[in-house]
Amino acid sequence: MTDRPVEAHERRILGTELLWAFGVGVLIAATLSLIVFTALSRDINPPSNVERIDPKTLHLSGEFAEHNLGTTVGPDGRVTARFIATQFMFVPRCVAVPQGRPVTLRFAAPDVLHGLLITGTNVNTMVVPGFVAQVHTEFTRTGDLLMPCHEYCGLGHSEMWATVQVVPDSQFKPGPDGRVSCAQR
Amino acid sequence: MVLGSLNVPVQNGLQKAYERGASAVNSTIPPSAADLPPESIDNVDEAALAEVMRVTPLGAGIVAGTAVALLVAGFLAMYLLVFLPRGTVG
Repeated sequence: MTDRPVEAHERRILGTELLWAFGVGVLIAATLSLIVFTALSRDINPPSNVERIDPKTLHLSGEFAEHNLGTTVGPDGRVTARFIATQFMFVPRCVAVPQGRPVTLRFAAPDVLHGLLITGTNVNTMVVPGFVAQVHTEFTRTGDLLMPCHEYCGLGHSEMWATVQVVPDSQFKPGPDGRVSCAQR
Repeated sequence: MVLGSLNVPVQNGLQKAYERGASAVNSTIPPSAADLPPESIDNVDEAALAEVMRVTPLGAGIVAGTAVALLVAGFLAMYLLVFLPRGTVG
């Protein structure tokens, strides 16, 4: 029979394809395992927060009134920084946060869709009018980090940025009211 | 071109020129297996074919394996050396 060598060739190619499929399966499983393991062990996941707020009145009273903006340290030691993202600035323009401590960043927008990232970190979120955007993070390095708006919000979009001042924990000293500002550095 | 509208010598000259051109064009076309009758014998060296079929999957595996290894190495480098050192987020 003349097609016997052809069958051998086809068996060899099939074996190679099965070996390749197995190898790729192992790679995919290993990659997903690494991502899931680090996500669970280090609490890394996409920022997700469904919390409604009235964009028309958020600056008048409540959490995002002017006197509440910036960094505050709660009685339990939790550090929270609150921003309003508006055309075309972040209020406040600078916040101080400690290095190596859990920090909660909260944002609200009264006008249009904004977005932000903090350079050199994994902080990256959208700020949607009507919702509070919240990101939990821990800053690993000290320094002044740029926080630009990364969602086009109008003609002044390129001028919309703020500074996140990461200071060593030893220099992060809240005042009697629990507030910390960049000027206190 | 309508040859009938020309005089006879011109018609003959154009006809010869056309034939020369047609033969020149045809001579540049390489012979094709499609022109052979289907019952023609395919002269294949079985030993050479076996060698090609042996090394081809190996070569394909090396090329594809190298490409995938580079891709995975790039991902791991970004994930372990850039993403994780930037701190937790959630």
